[in-house]
Amino acid sequence: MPRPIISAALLLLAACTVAPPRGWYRPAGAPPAEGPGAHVEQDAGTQVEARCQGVYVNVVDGRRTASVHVQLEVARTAGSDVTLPRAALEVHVRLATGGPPAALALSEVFGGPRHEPDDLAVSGWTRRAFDLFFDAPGLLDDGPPDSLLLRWELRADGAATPGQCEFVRVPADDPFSPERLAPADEAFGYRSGWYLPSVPLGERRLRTSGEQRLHHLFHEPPGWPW
Amino acid sequence: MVTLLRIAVVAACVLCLLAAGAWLLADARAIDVLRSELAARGLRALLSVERADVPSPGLLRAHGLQLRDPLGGEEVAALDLLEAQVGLTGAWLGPRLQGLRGTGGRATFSHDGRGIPFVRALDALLDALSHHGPRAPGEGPPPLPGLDFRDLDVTLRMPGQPPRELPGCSVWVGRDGAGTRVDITVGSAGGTLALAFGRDGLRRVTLRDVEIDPSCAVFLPRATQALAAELAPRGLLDLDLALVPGDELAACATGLLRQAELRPARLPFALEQATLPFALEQGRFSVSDARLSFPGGAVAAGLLADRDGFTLDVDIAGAEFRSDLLQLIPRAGQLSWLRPEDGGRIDLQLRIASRAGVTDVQGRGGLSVERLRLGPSGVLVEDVVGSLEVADRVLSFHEFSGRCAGGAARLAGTLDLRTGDVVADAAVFDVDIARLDRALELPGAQERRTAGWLEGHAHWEGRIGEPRTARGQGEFSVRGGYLWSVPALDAVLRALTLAAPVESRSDSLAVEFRVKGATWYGDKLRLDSNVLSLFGDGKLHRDGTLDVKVTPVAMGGTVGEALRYVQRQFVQLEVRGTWSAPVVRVVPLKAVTGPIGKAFAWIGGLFGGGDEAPVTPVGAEPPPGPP
Repeated sequence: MPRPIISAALLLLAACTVAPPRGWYRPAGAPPAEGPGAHVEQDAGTQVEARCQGVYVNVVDGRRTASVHVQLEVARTAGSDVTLPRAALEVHVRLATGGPPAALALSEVFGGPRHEPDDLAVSGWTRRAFDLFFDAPGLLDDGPPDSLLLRWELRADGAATPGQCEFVRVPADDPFSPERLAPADEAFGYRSGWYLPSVPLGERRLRTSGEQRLHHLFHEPPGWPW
Repeated sequence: MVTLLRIAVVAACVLCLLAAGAWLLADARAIDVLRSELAARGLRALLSVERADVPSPGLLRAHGLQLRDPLGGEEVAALDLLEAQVGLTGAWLGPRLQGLRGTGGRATFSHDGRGIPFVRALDALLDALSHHGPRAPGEGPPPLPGLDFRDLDVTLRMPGQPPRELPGCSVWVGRDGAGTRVDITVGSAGGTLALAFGRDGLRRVTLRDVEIDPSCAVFLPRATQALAAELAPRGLLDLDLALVPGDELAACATGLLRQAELRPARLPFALEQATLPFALEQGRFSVSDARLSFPGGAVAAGLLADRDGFTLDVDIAGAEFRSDLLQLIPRAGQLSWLRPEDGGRIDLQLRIASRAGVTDVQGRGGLSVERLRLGPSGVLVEDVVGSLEVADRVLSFHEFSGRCAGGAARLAGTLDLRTGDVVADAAVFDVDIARLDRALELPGAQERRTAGWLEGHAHWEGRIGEPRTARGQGEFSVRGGYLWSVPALDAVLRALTLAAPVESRSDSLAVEFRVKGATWYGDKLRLDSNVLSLFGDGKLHRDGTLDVKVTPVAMGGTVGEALRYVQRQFVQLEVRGTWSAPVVRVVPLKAVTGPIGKAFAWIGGLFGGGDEAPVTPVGAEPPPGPP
């Protein structure tokens, strides 16, 4: 077999087996810890708890794209409802290569097992969990961003209250870096609180197992690249 | 001349002696005269006098007066001293009272079901003085003299309440048009009380700035006394009460209780800084737009009460959650496993209706609790939030959720406030069992390297305070874990002479369980790990005793799957003892009997460190039957 063909085949094989880059984040200022950690913000009537499950490559509508995955848990500690408008939910990405932050709009939201096509609504005296995805095809081209700034707005009782949380990348040499973790149980999806670490991600689609979950799984195993 | 002078001196002396004698005679006979006068007026049963004297002409002093209830005869008031100014004009028709002044003594206000005896006695006294006095021919009733009492100690007695002492009161009684008016100035406490009597009895009560306490309910119509006892009000009262003697329903009133404090028997704290405008009409007592404060919040309330019961509307908005609010739940004393801490928020709209001795509560609300401790070891649950509903005396709690051991917990269900029956559905998600293990304070938790993520749900029914009524079922799983440092599993490893696996955090545990009384039955137990799988069932008692039977299947190596069936035929492990000190026995099964069991026992004896119980014959005790 001619050497160029062998080289090309090896390169193709390598391309197929090398895991795409993936960034892991924890709230800015949070000490190194086993899990992703949570940013908690509480005002008179609402508690927002935000976790970042990383920036990773997955497949959305048949196309490979990078996505920022954020988990929100919103508890309404008052009798009136609170709404998080979709338009106000965005992630500002500070790229590893520098330059001005890029703003990513919200692409898709799941509230538990339900797809949320509208604004995120939480009734009085309840707590709801959301999985937010912000898609940006070239986001990982230069490696995982250094930091992410999640912004939101709470609307309740006729008032709008902005909120934000910065996540910073967990270095690879961090003693609790999820990159050191063994692959997660794919049926369970989490290891030490991280979403599917060391597991290649394929099509983004809700996977329900019938059991009650706070946050469900949203990725199929990856298919063949062709 | 000298003779005349002598005669005059002697006559003067004789007159003086006669006057002195008459004086002495009058003084000595004063008590008899007074008693005769009381008898003539029909007041002997009502009023008695211990002794009397005449210190000067026109002044009669009576000591030790007792005013009695005209119906029951009990003392309602006692006066130390009463001075009567007696007019001598027209004295051939008898002396006429021109004024009465009393000093010192005591009066008691109580309610005997027929009214207030003191008021009844006063009513009778005024009636007697007005209608039975001496009259000149063609003259109407003589004008009632003013009665002025000073330095009276008044006692208010209300059943179930400590007596209220009002020292230094002043009482004035006098004419007011066709009726009689009694003005009472409350001594050190301040405030005035005016009682207006018509010919047929008490017609009007007016209070201004009177500092009241629950004992003052003695002045209220009977229909509202029970409510007053329930609410135990204190504060400054302004009241205008109009009465129709003999017709309680005709009473009407308006009033305002300021700087009020209520201590309802069912509330664990006082309601303070209240302003309570109220009205009484046609036997219905109402409070509208009342605002009361309690530590951490305020409540708006309205009340409608009549002789059949009351309806109380309560609206609490945005108040701070207090741990003692738990005492609002019947049988709260038996909820020792539930210990909320102060901090959080609560909204509550309640309607409490009490009719014919039956109390019904309807309402809804929500609450958040910053910190809550569960169970005997006080597992911390944070940021609890949920909503409540009360209907038909059943409290429904809708999807309460909170953070626990790094994960989340949910709870929904009902509590029957009459019976204490509870139905609950609970779920936990993403709970870090290492943190949970430490929080549960099970023996050895600090040293254990247990890890994993717990999820599960359960349905539970039972009655508060009666653990034996508990019934439940559910399932839970632990994934991404390392469980071999759990005492029972550690003992299993040692019984099988296996070394503890490396901490790969890949163990998974799935359990289906039921609860009956104080016993937890694991119907299906399955533990999978890289080195060993266990299948089985068993039970765990609340006192920590274990009785579990599992079949081990080695998963390591290439023959694990092939050996699974065969091994299941070989041995079963019985785990008994307690949670913290389990005892494992290896039981040979089926095809291979004695030798295999003895071999396991022998090997286990070599490596087990003496933790395992001696091997006993197979089938020494039957497996647990279905509960």
